[in-house]
Amino acid sequence: MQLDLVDGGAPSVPRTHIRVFARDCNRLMQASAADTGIFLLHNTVPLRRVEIMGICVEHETKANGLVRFTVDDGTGCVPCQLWPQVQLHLQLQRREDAPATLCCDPQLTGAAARLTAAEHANIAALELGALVRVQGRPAIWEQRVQVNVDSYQREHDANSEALFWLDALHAAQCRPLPNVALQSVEEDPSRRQRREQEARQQAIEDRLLGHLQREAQRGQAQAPWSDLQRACNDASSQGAPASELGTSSVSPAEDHMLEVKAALRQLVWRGEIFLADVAADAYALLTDELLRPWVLACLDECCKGSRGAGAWRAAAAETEGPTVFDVAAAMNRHHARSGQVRHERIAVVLDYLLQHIMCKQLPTQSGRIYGQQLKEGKIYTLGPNQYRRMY
Amino acid sequence: MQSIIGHSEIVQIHELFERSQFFEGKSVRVTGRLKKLDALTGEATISQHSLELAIDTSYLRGVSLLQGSMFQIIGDFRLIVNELRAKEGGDLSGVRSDDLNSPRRPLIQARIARNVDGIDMQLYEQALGLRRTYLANRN
Repeated sequence: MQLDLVDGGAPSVPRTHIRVFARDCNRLMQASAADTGIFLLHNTVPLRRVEIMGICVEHETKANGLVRFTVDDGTGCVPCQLWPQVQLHLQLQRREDAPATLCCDPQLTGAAARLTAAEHANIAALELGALVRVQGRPAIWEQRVQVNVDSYQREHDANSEALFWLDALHAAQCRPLPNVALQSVEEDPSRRQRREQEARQQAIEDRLLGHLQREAQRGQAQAPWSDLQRACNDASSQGAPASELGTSSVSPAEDHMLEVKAALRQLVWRGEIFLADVAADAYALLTDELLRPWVLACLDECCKGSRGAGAWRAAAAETEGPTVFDVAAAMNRHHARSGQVRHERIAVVLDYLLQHIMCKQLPTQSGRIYGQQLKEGKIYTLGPNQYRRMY
Repeated sequence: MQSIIGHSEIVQIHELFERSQFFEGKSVRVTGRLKKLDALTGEATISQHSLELAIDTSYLRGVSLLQGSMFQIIGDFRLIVNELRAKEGGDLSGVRSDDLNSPRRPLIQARIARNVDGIDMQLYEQALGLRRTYLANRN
């Protein structure tokens, strides 16, 4: 997209907070590597600051004072970060004797820099279920968009959410539509090439998964490498040439094979497939049915004292236990066939086990609480983001 | 913070009944007026446009559930075994005949509740419809 330049060469990106929905906020893309503060909304509208409104569904306070919370407006969840300096600034602003121009100065000293107990309590006003309006700057963290909060307001009026939606819709209608094909002037050719390569890899991954699913439906749990490569051959014959580098020393067929292998590695890394038969070089889908007994066994191992003899068993009355990361580490130590199963996948499996096998969880900051069941005399109790079994 | 909670889709009660299979297991947000609350079982009933939906409130903390107030409930939608069919001589007033006859009945396992007294439901529903149209067009 052609970004208009003003004097000094800086793009004329608005400095106001643009009202967006959570889904649009999660789909923001960085406009260029040169300025990581500019994002593109719908791949067209440049912005630096956003305003979102939703219900606080998660809340966490770190030891260093950083507050992380998640805002859910029904279209998506946006993680937000509230830094201690910003909290201090906001609380000082809300004082009755605050000067008209109070700059965010982390070097504030004296009485002005100390918050009263009531002000500290106000910072915790971001309780679960509160409707909050957040203004901030988007940033990329761990490959997803999050908002660094500049300010926030807790909305007590029940109609403010609907009015925010109307404001956001009105702003969307007022934005000029692009009248040219979208091509970023600042985009490097290598970035476009990388994007096309990612699209090709995604297509290959989809073909591999589709082939494995079809084989599974026909009763073939595993598929050898040769079959998988054959299933992907159509992608290479229909799509763009495997390599756009005119001077590549690798033949197109070899290049395609490398791409298929890279796609397989990616699927194994994400925990969607695993190498079922090393001798036959055959892969299979890593279904939840396969994963559940492994996860349960690793949970057992963790609880039996891999972190010190009975360390968690001794803390049976407390909310101490292995986290999902501990379970993931145990899994990846013992079940090498499953590859490096990501903790998000393991968390989903643990959630299933929560609901169907063990179910009591103490009230957590995330507000997720389940009922309790007895099964075969074993009670499984879970703490905040921690899991354990009691014998 | 590694969030594993997905967003909760804003729906109306009649949409949950019409597409119960689709929403089963998903996180939803509904708005309704609290009709009754059974403190023993922790089950509440909210209503919207003369439709009633059961809410399992046993896991809510720090929320005052006042009968007659409007609430927004965020939770997981489930179809549970219908114990109402086994009731004999119990109070079945207000129970939908569909709920009574079906093997499973809808229930929301609430994790967040918010008092929204004063909400203009007509404005809310219209804004929701416009938002859905906009999001569908963007797709």
